[in-house]
Amino acid sequence: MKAGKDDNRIISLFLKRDEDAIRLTRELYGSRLRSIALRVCGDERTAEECENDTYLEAWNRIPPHEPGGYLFPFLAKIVRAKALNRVKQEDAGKRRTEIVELSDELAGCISSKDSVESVFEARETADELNAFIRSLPTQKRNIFLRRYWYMDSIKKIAEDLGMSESKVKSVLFRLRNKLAQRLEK
Amino acid sequence: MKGNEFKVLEQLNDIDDDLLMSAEKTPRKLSPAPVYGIAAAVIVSVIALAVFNPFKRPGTPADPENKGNDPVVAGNDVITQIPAGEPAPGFEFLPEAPVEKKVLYAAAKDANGQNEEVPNRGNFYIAAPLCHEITKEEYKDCLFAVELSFYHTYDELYKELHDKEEALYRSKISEYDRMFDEWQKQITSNDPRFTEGKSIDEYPESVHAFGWPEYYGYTPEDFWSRGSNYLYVGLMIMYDDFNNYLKDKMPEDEYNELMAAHKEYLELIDELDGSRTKIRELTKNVHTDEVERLKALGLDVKLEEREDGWTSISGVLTPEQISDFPASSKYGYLIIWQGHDNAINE
Repeated sequence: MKAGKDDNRIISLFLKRDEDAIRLTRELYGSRLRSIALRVCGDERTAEECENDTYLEAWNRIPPHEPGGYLFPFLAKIVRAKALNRVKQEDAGKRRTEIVELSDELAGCISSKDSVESVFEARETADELNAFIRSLPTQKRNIFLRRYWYMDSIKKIAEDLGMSESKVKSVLFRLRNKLAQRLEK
Repeated sequence: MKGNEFKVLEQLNDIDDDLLMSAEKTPRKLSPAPVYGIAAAVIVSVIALAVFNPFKRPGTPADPENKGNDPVVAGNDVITQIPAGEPAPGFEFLPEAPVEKKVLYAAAKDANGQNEEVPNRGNFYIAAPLCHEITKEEYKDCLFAVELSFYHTYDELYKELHDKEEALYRSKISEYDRMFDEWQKQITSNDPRFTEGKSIDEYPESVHAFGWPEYYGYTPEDFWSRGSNYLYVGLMIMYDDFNNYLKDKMPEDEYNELMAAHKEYLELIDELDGSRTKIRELTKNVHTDEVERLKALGLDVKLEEREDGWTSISGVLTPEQISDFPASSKYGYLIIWQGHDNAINE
């Protein structure tokens, strides 16, 4: 519960426009946010810039937005989006192959068309994704999110979960097929 | 994918917050037993919170059409009270509760925090805010609106299915996969896009893990022209072709045996990862029996059932009933405080 109380305190500081909000956010979540950015962009300096941009965006968005007790996911989504944007802005040849591969892995499951319809489809897809992930046993759910949201390497996931790399790959393969099947319905 | 390489990764940004938090806190090197326990607990908890969450139900205090009484904030943390003698709107079981007592709700949907440990069989945990509030003198005559999460309800069934899946993989499916690899190599051996002698592991994971169509000698256009914009259907077409290859290569009885094993394997995977029909039925039986047992012991609890068959248990309990909860030796329990949308966190 400690984090929850700290979250409430920080959010109230944001709401009061007190700059201590940013200092406390950095103290509590800075390293985790930088770590997410680093896994996406692979560059320490860029990751640090993404982290700082995240504090600024949080400052601009709270208020009116109030993330409730979920301050970290709110910040994590911002930093991940910023890091992905930075990767997109780079020359195609310089892009991290890992990120391109991750995107390719999911390409068969999730439509990525740019169209008016796809705006609505994207919302439906997000709902379906949430439902799909919630339906998974804990370990498989964590493997999926660690790989495709936090962008951890297969090796890191395997080490953390005490599994072989091939087992992790096998689980991801099956999960992608199941996700594709679900989205196809 | 060219031109919008990261759209799919960006779409994942809309994942629910609680899912992200739980994945970030992934424990290191869990043994199989806690994994089953945690999987069972999290799924039951998620279903309970997602389905029986009063915020999402018509007729709750959050519903603008609802004419019920506004809750009164009591205390300075997370308590909300429904006035004595008046049923809390949105909860069918509440009119059955003793009317002379107040019913207390948690004020925020995250008031229960995260439970990091799994209670063993015969044990129960009380969510932290609830555990704190039930000891307060001013609430000793009140009722607390709770939900019960169960642990270890289907550990054995899950393990049985999982073991069966592993055994089937070792005995039959590994051979199916080996022949699949062999077929892949035949398809790609004359393809100049693949360097001779290069191991499959040297290609990007997207190639050897997902089955990127080019690897199998197909182009996306092959799949598009055969009826779908989704690569998954293409993957199925590819499997059809592989099965025809198998049929030509193997004696009919062996082929039929292998295909039957493969079908059984897919059904097992589906049960474990998707439909969970047997697990759902078992969970419902456990909840039904537990409601009867707890009612017989004087607890005001009720089975909640949603359209797809998943169940949960809710109720209104006194502080004593919570602190002395009569846990069965068969299961572990987490007693969660129900949230209330109109409450105020201070």
